[in-house]
Amino acid sequence: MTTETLTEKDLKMTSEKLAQVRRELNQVLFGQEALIDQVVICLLARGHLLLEGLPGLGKTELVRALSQVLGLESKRIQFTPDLLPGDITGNPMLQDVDGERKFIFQPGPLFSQLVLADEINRASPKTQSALLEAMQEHRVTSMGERHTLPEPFFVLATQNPIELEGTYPLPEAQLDRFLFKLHIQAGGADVLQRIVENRQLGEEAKGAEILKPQELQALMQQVKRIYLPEVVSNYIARLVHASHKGESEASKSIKYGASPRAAIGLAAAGRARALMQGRENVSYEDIKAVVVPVLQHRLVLEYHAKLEGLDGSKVAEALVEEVPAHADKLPPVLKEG
Amino acid sequence: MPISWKRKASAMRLRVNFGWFWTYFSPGMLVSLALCGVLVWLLRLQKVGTEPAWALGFGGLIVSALIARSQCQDKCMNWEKAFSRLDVGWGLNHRLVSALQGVGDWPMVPDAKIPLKVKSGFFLAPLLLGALFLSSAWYLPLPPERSTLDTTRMEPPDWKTLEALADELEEQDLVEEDATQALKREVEQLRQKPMEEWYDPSTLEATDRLRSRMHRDSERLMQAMNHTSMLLQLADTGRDQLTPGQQQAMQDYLQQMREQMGQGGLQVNENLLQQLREVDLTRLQQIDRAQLQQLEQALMENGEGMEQALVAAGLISMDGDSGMGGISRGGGPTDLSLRDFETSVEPVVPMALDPGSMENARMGDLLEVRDTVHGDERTDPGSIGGAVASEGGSGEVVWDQDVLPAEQKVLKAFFK
Repeated sequence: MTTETLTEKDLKMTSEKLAQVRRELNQVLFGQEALIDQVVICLLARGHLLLEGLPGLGKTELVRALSQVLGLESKRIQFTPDLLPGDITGNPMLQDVDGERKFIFQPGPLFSQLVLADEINRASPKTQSALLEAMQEHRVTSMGERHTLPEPFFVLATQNPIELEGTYPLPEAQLDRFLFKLHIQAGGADVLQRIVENRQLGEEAKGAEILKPQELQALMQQVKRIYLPEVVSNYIARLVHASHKGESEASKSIKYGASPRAAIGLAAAGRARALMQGRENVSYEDIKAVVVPVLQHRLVLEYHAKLEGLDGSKVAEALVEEVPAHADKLPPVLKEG
Repeated sequence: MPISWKRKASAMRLRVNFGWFWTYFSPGMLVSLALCGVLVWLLRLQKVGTEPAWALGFGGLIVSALIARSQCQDKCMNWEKAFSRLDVGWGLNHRLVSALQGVGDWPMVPDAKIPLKVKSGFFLAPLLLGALFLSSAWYLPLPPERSTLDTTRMEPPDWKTLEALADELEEQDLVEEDATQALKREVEQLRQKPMEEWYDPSTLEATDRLRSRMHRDSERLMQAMNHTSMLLQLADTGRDQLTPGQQQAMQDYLQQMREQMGQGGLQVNENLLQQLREVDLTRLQQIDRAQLQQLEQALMENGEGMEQALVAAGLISMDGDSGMGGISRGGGPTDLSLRDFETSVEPVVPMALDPGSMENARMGDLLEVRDTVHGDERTDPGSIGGAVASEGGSGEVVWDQDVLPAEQKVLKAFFK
């Protein structure tokens, strides 16, 4: 609970800075304004991001652009079935130190501020679970020694939704640690035309550095100071509660509902969105805007719902539709308008 | 909190809180008004003051209001919820809620109406329904007042008449008691019917038939006694002149009269009938004159007693009329005919036939033979193939042939 709120000046400066970040990212990745907004919200909320999309839509480019614009150090890990946990966390190596042979921990690619875990569902569950501690606690334990990851630390994982052979679907516990799951959609013809006109094969697009890591951390601190009204926190609680069996009509399609971590994530994402829009408080609209990316990968659907063609995003939308923003009903003699 | 915003939030709270109050109050209000309406209607029917009904309705409204107030307590809107609805309604992204908590400044008050609308149907329907109850109870005309005369308790007067006749006949010992008891039983049976059916056509018809039958039997018995009395008087006066054949004829007639008196619905008392059975007019010389005169006198007195009883019962009148009979139906005799020259004719008083002319007739006697043909049958229409050859003259035929000479004389004198 924060006691100190942001001043109007702070808010204005922050929103302008974030607008620059989004503009710069939009210069690198064409036609993905909404996606970029969501990515920025996710990072401001200190969340990890799971990107799902077909190859060639710019997932890697987005991560690279993010690292450039935010001034973060980034590394890319291509997940494969034979990848071992130590390959990403790092391994203790036997080294000669002052005439004495010692195991010295050699940090893996996870020791980076921005990690792109490409095709994460291709790695074995053992390797995937190696990410758990890193994502949740921002540290790695090897041979009893804890190694803290650099701050800020973000994992941006991608997975290919159509190639299922030789993949290991992420377990629910792992999915729950991603704040957002976003789908990258292909742009229209006009977007393609812009890409063709502005890109050369083999040339990487480069974005200007707008923020430094310290500034980003300061922004993330500001997110915590965004005021969350009681009515909005009540709305978040009712939304998450409605995702549980028997609590709503939409929950008939849900086998296991969202966790408290999802509710915390909703509040954090709502705060981040409010900050991005230059407001000092969260509103219902902020929550509605982030419900689908926060909940869609956390809802475990019933088999019949999958057969009916439903997915997490559609059920999350149904929840938003069903749960009224206002906790109190209006009397029958009145209507909104 | 700026006063302008406080006003807006107050308006929002007032609407919502009143909406909840109305939601809980309207059913109780409707019940109270409906009860009040029913009571007003009942009191109007009783033709007493309606103040208690209004007081009850008012009390019901107060109780309903108190119950509604307690029920909507937990639904009453607080300031934060009011500002939250204003935030959403005016797209302020919860700036008002935040400002209420001291986060950020209060925005400018928009020039817009409170983002709530009243569903007039939900609001007005209970009011209109309640008003309908009350106005119906107050303005609907009362049903026509029932007659204070309790007609259902008055039995048809003929029943009393018939019972009085039976009592009179029993008292004078004129007829056998079985007959009068049977008459009383039949009247009692009619009386046992539900009061609502006392004046049904079937009951009235049965009463009328009972009365007719009593009248017919009484007259038959009275006639038989009169005839027998006259016969005995004739036998007494002609005791010495009557031939054996005449005596036998008189004895046969006496036998016929005895049978007539001993049969039917009313029978003469057994003592008198036994005395008559002992009379043998073929041996007239052996009959004691005093005994014959006593018997003749008894028959005559019985006949007169019965006549008085019938008169008292209204079955016959003193001047010898046989009564108007049964239920009078129809509009009675017409006053005037349609013919112009009869417009000055005074109303004709219908006269009953004199039963005296039939006094000596017996059933099956041929009273008169008239050689006549109805005018319609005698008139040749002269029609061939639908054409009318004669305009008819049946009126003249009736005048000439069907009217008796005495009637012709009277009519001619009248129309002269």
